[in-house]
Amino acid sequence: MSFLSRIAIITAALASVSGCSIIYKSTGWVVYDLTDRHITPYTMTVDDFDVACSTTQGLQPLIMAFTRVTSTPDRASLIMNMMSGSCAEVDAAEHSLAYIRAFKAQNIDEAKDARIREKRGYAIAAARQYKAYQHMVHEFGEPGGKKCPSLSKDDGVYWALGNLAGLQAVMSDLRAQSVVNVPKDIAMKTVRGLQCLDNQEFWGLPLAAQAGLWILMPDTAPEGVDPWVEMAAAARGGSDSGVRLSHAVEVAIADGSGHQEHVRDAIRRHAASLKVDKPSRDYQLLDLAASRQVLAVSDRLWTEGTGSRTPVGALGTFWDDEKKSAAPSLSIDDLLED
Amino acid sequence: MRKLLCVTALAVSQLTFAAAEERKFCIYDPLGANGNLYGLMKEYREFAIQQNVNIHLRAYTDEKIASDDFKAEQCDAVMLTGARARPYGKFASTIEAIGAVPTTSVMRSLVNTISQPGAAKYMVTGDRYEVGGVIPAGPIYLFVRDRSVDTVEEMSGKRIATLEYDEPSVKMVNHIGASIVPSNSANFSGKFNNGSVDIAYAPAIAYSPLEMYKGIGTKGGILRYNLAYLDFQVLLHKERFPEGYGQKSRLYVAGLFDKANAFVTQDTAGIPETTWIDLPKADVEKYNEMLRQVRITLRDEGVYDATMLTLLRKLRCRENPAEGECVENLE
Repeated sequence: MSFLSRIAIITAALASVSGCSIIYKSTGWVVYDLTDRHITPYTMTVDDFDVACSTTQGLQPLIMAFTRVTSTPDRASLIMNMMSGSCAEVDAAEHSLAYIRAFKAQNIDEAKDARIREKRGYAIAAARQYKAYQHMVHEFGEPGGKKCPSLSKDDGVYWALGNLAGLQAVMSDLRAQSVVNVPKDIAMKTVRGLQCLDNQEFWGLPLAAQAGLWILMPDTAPEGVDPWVEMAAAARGGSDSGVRLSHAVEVAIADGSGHQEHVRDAIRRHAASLKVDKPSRDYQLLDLAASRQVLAVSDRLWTEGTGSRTPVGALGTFWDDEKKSAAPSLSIDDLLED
Repeated sequence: MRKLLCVTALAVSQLTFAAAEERKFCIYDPLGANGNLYGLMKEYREFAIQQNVNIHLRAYTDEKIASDDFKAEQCDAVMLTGARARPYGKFASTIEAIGAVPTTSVMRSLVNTISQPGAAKYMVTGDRYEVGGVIPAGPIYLFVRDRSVDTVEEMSGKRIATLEYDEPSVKMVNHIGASIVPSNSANFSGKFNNGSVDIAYAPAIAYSPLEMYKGIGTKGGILRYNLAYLDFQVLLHKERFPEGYGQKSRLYVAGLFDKANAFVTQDTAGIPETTWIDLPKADVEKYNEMLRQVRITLRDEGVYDATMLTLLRKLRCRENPAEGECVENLE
């Protein structure tokens, strides 16, 4: 009797005595384990943002279906929801560009429609990011309290991402005009939560979040501390580690608080870093997601300025930069004169 | 001939678009470009472009800088709270007069009334400034760290986080014998939460984002009494906008009332019922009277605008004609 036939007979025998539940359960735990140990860590190494988007959104219902017979894989759910939230953010940003173009063309109906699509996109993003945050809370407890949870390096990655997802959820919900009603106090809690992590080990992200708060609420900064200097230091941590989430935080904070020169400077530094600092092998997807967020802001600025997004290869430049000609302009008459 | 007309019409419309005036609108939103107010003003752009004004928005998280940039003509329009708008229009800034707007329905009636063309003369200050609309941001409440401090007598001697640039607030705190702890919108919550002050005043929106429940703890609470009604005002450098723009703007902004009020309702609903402290009716009447006296004093000192106070009294009396103030007509 072949091996496969034996497996089939055993499976049939098990099913006949216990129904299908035992098979589902054992399969569920296999999927749970596989997801936790391999799929999630592998996903973080993916070097293609769009593939990660499609895969996450496609696999999410399948993996989550097994929670009916096993426990909820909080860590995997955190990553999947955060990723699918980023995908929705990318869609929303696309609609915001359509809004700007329609507005420039004075096509008000189209502009209004694009703005509605943008808000809907951010509402979807907020709901997903909030779920990611809730999975983090379920796994480790609520951030921002007096004590930090005990975190291994691996735990720290999920803690960092869960807290970041919480911050993103608040921002996305605000952009959606609060239709999801994400509790706004999450923002402060997550900034404190991120301080449980070593700044250098976690890509400058804790310092970026802290500096962001100081920029938005200057009176909360310790005396003598320049929040922008701290933010730039955090960004350097992102460059050095190849996980440039702190760059995305810097651009988001500068953009949100209306500091346009800081926005441009941060985008320039991000683009320069992409040329010289290699992305982290283990967390390449996080680096890509951060870059997408920076590109989204650059695209918005370019579209406002010129009507179209950042030209290919032009991230880090702006349409009104002074043109530096390679050769000096000479007078033809002077040259032809004997 | 018809073709010629069409071509001419098209050319005229293109010309009109090309001639749209570029104007800079500086918006104070504590949450910057991600905030709900900033979001509402994105929709305002759609109104403005139809008036041939192409508005570029810029977010400010520091209200003083936004105000200074407007004064220095770095901004053609600005959005500020009523208290900060005082130098640009005494009539409209008096909307935030202490105890003058007890309910959202009074606020709604007020916004509708002052947005009508008949009220236009009150919305312009000299040749320079014009109020281009008023957006509600909800009642201002007293947050106390100790819920037993629920009478004015008990507030005497307590430390209150006070907006130092807001003269009426300073007068009020002095009036009740409390001590002023100079604060601003960025640091008052920290002072309340860490116990540097006993009392703070703020709208419901501050409760969750600024974690004011930390200062309230298990002993404190929020007095369910409208101290004043916070509002945001669109202010214009009048000469930078087309003739009649301000009036159209006021009507458009008045149409945003429900959207803005929905944020207030949502934020208020987020405060647990057990946090609220209800005052006895007799105390409410006593405080209404006390605040009225403070308003009259501030009017006589030239801080509040008498016409706005009269208007507000009439609107309150339409809602509650049995009140004593409706007979005395002191405002």
